[in-house]
Amino acid sequence: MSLVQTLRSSAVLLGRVRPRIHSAAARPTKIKGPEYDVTPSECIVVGVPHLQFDPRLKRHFKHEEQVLAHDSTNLDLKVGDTLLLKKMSQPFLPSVQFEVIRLIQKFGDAQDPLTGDAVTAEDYRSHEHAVAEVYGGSGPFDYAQAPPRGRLEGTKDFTDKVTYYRWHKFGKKDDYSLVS
Amino acid sequence: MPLLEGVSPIRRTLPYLQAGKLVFKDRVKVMTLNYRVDERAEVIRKHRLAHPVNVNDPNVFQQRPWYIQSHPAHHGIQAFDHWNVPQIQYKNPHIQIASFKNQAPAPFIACYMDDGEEVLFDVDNHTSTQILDRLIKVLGKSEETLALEALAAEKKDNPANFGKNCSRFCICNVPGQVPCPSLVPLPKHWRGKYHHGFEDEDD
Repeated sequence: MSLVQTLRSSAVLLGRVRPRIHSAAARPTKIKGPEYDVTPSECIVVGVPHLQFDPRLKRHFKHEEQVLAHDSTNLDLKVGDTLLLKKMSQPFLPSVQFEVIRLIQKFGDAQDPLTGDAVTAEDYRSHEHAVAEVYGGSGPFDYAQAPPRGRLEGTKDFTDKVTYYRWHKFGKKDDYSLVS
Repeated sequence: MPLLEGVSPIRRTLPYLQAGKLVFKDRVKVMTLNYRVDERAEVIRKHRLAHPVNVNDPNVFQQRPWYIQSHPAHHGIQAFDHWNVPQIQYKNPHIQIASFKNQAPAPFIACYMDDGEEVLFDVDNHTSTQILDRLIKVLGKSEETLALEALAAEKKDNPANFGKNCSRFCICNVPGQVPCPSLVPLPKHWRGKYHHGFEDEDD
């Protein structure tokens, strides 16, 4: 059984949300933009990290496979969020066999699962505030007053879009497109 | 024969991989390891030619304090990831194992079952041996179970075997072998009751 089949026969997978798939070849007409979103609706792209064994070198290499998952939850999923996927009894589409069951970690807003405290990569947020109180200064980033992620999507944040070169003048000029 | 290349190349030998003790129960599907590593060491390891520094000099990691640094509490799970994870993945090829580095300040291992249930292990200040023993005790198959499974696999593997759970129930079904004694009686000198001088049933 190949690794792809092994993964797809697994009941539960853990992965991270990846950008949606865009394809230049899927555009129906010249009027639309060069990069067309071909990810099925109500689906997201999830990168599943795993270890792939090389029988000649006898070593496991890190590999990430992209899997399409059906998202019927109301969680506002962004790129980088860690999810738990479960295999569906009836596939949503021939290429979509997994569905999202649980959000494990939000990207940039992580919590320690053992204590439930909010953390940064290096320390607990409460400890960082306590250190700032003792030593003074401006203190760490104030997560409580920070707006939720995704506030500037479409206006100033175009990280979910795919950059492309403007070889043709379309009706609307995208701010994230480039001129060679 | 030249020496094997790489870091700890003994991990790339079949005897080492087959010597793994941990075989997860069938319910376990995902295992994640979360711990901290020296961020600068990771950058140097990945881009060694761009960072010509002596990685054995401890002062190198003190130069830029905003790099995330590891802690002795994470050394046990680091060693576990380095020495034991290849064995675990070899013995459990259908389980997804992933390592997440510098995501949280405290080290932990999270295992996910087939119904989505999560099992957490706090491995702060634990050695790799302690972590392995704990995983075997909680989520691993016992030695008796592994022995039974090995016996069942051996029976299925070898086509010459016959008996319960094998392809042939009895060797008497094979043409050319001794026919079933229930149909064709065995010669008297083969039967123990005649060999030892017991009463002859024909009389």
